[in-house]
Amino acid sequence: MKYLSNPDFITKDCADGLALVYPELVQTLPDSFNGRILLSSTITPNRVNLIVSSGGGGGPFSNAFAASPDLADAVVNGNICTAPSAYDIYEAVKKINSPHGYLLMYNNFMGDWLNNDLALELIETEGYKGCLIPICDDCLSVPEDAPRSERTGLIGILYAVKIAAASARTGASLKEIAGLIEHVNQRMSSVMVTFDFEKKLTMLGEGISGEPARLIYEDQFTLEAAARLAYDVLYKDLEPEKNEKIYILINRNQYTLYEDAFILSKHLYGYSQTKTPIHQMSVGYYDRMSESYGFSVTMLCADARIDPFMRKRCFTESFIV
Amino acid sequence: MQDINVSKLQKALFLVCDKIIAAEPMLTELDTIIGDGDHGFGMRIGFSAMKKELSRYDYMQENKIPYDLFKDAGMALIRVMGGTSGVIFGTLFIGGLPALENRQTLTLTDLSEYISISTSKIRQRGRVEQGDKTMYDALFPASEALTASAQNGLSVEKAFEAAYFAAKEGAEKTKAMISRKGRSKNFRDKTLGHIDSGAVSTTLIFEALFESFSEQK
Repeated sequence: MKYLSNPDFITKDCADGLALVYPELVQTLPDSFNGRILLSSTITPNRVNLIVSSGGGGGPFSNAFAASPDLADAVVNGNICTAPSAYDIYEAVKKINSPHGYLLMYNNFMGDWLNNDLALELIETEGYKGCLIPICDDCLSVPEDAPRSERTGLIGILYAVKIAAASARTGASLKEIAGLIEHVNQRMSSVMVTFDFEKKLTMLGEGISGEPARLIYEDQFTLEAAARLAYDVLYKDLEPEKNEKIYILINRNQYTLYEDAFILSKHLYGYSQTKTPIHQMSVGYYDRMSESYGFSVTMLCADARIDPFMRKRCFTESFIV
Repeated sequence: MQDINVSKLQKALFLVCDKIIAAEPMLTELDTIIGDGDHGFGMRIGFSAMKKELSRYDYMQENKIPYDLFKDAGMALIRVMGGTSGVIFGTLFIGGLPALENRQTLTLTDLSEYISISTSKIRQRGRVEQGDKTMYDALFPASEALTASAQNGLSVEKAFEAAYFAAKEGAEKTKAMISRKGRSKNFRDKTLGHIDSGAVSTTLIFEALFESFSEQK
């Protein structure tokens, strides 16, 4: 990635700017050690709080989670492509100071897990309650026979945060929300779809750091074909039940046209009519970490336990989910 | 070298910081091939913070002990770095602190015990084993070499020379391994033939300790 700004300070300076532009939505924690913590302006310690952490430099992800009255209570960023420090997460917890407990939510990468795990140890020594919530939605990130808990995370964390936040606002307990999100993890799957314009390839499962694709197709170089391939992979992985509604989330990668994302959604919707029709879709430029032309597509199968928390659209300064 | 005081350790850690900071381009290049390319950047940020933290005062003059020095060093990494490296390299410095409590100066046995405990804590926290293609593949043999040197009554310089070469050999062996941890595991077979950047950083740390203790004998 290329930056005009100093990479050492880019996530801090971006957080400062975001809070200056939208003070009614989000604030920084000025006296924090690294200055990379964002707090929702509507934060309250009177319920379970959500802290989302991730590497910096992903565009709206994950800053915008805090820039909404309906999503996370705090976001803790790391340096570019680097999980935030455990100390930053600990500082966010101390600032919110809730007796109801904390959901520490992150995509299931090793650095994120290690720092959240250490942060949990630190907060528990001070009497706070917490629960680690790794999101594991990237269905092609591990071999087919590997357990779901070993998968890394893609963009499904948006749905997970939305659901957890809605549940927390009903007054649910830490244990109840953790159980709900564990269920979401079982019923949600994502796939990265990228394109090689020179070789006319459609690829599934490429990683955000350039990890090689798992499935490569030479004769499927259209959005219609990509929609079908992505839907089939997710459908096979989740095998939707009759009582479940299908929600689809499409993230545009760094170089992907706005138009192509909506054309893909149109093809996905059309193809879904031959299987289980899509109930609702969201399309956005949520995370730009993948420097490629393509999308990540997330499927959530929402049963009666999940669906009530999916009904309300959530707005941030950058996207709608 | 007689027992090691906090002044010698402070100088040694400054050399560790300088070596890691200078190695940023090389570490970045290694991590870009089979990882997400953030290792060199993160290590430079972390060890720059450590150097700044340890430069606040002369630990000897302030009547500080090795425990204080290593705690400050490790906490600087954990506070600033983030990522896998922040926790793992932070644990390298603070994990073994129980072995150093109230010690004004350290014997080789103290130091080897300190590093041995840190090594165990890294294994537990990171859930790593030898052969996973991580920094542990350099750290474990280095720690074992130090323990053996202490048992055989070697000098501090000779012990850290052995530890450095053991780390270097361990790091080299990661070329023949397929990554099983972290982002690089997703590169699967493509990791074969490439050295692990965390193992190289670990080797640099032991190299700096060996060089510093040799110069200060």
